[in-house]
Amino acid sequence: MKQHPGDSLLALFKKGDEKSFHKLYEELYPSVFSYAIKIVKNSQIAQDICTESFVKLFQKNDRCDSVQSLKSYLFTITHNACLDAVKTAKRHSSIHKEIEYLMEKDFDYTRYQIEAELIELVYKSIEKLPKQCKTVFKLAIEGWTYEEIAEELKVSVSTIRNQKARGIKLLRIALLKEHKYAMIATALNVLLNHY
Amino acid sequence: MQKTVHRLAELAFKHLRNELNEDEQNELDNYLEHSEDNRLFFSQLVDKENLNKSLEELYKLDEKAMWRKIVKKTPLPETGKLITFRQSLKYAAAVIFIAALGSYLYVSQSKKSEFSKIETKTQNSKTDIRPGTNMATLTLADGKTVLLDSNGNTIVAMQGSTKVSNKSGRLVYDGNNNSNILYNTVSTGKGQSFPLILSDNSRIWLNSESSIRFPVSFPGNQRKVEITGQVYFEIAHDASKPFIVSVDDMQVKVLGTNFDIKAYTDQEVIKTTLLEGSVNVKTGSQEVVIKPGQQAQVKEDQIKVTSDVAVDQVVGWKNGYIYLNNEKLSEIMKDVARWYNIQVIYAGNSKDIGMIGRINRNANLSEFIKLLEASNIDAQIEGNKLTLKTH
Repeated sequence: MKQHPGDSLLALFKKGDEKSFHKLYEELYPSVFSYAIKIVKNSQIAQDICTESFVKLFQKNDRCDSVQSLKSYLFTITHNACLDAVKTAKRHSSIHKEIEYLMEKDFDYTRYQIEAELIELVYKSIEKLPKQCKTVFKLAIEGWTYEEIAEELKVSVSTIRNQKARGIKLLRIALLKEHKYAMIATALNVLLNHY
Repeated sequence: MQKTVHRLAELAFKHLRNELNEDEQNELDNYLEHSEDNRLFFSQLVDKENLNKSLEELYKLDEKAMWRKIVKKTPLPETGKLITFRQSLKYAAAVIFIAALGSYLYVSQSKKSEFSKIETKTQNSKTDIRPGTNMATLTLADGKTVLLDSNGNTIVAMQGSTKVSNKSGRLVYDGNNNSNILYNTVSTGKGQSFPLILSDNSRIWLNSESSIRFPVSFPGNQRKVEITGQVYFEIAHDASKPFIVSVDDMQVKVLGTNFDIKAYTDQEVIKTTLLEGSVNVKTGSQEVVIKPGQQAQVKEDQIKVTSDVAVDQVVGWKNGYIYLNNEKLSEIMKDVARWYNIQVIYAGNSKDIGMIGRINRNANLSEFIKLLEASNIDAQIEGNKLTLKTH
């Protein structure tokens, strides 16, 4: 049976030194940041919240006994900090009603967590693509057309198309391997057809 | 709860592929009808723009800068050390390089690991404290004393048929044929060190506040000397005449070998470190033979042997460096005080700070002080008194 990737996260946390924490940070920051920015909708505030969450995690004196409790601790702190940020913003300007449901006590924010992790998954998978593939994908995400990308990278449009196709194929393979989110992987699979 | 959400997503995408059967379609409709939340979630999951935007934000993020901020705000222990956070508040690390002079210092304090390079320019001021020099006092067999320094190339004395000369700062004994046993002593005070070559061609280096008493030529079947302080030996090989060094009640016997003995009275332990060859260390009740890279530590009558000693660091003084091996500041300053001929006063808890590094001991004391200051240790000189205080 394949070793659950979460096990090594827990091991890193238990190790407790700077190098291990750095690795832990690199694994988790995409989902924490994505989560925060979804709620507060401001990159700088999201960064500050993200920073604080990790600081608090690293100062946690009682150790977590599972990767799930580690992640939920991290997301709980982040969520609460986001709420505070929104409340503060609310005092200064009018906030749309859609945010108000966040304040509800029994609001289940796991869906946001899932979404954040989904984004993280895609992000990390793209990072692992071969160099040119990755560049093409990133530019496409930022809204560049095939022609624009081709001109920038000094290759033909058909090369760009091929790289894109190759990337999608690799992403599908990579995402399908993630059996924790197998369902989401399938979903992504479909999503990617949009590209 | 999660299962619901997952199921919703699953249905959503089957919907996108037009793969829903009737039951599943009903299930999806129910979910969507059920709450605003569900509708929102559904729409966000299938929204390509949404995903794009999120990814874009991630690409724009300077995660390295964020990490630096996190490190700044957290007291993190250094790599490899498993110190709990509460303990770690006592320790941090700062490595400071003084590139030009080859001195550096690494102080265990509190926060993160950080390297900063400091260029120093040697400034000679009247109040600066000069390092030690190549000087010593020779006491001849008749009790007469001669001051030795680096000047000149002179014959200092004749001791029997042995010629004693000062060759530009090294005392050389020439002639091993004396019938009488005549003893000479070479000694150094604070701020002094001196090399010599004995009549058997053995090479000796004296550190500060040290001495060696020896026969001018070696008769009979052994070569016996007495020392105090810290002395480094490169003994000429002579199987017929073992070389014996005695320090208090300890005796070190060698055949042909390079080793260092550190036996200051302000230390609890006499340390004999072997670089090459083989030595036998003997006390009243114990006797051990050590190999190169090992150190025999004698405390009262007991001998303890440690291996894999950083021998270059132990004899660094001979090459112009004082090495610091995570000893307490108070221990380190004993050697520094001897060489610079100063008195050290400790304020706060400066005594117990651990330091790793290396000091060029041919530089003025101000260089060392600059290192200390950069590691948050306050150093004040008044005359020949140095007061150290943690910030």
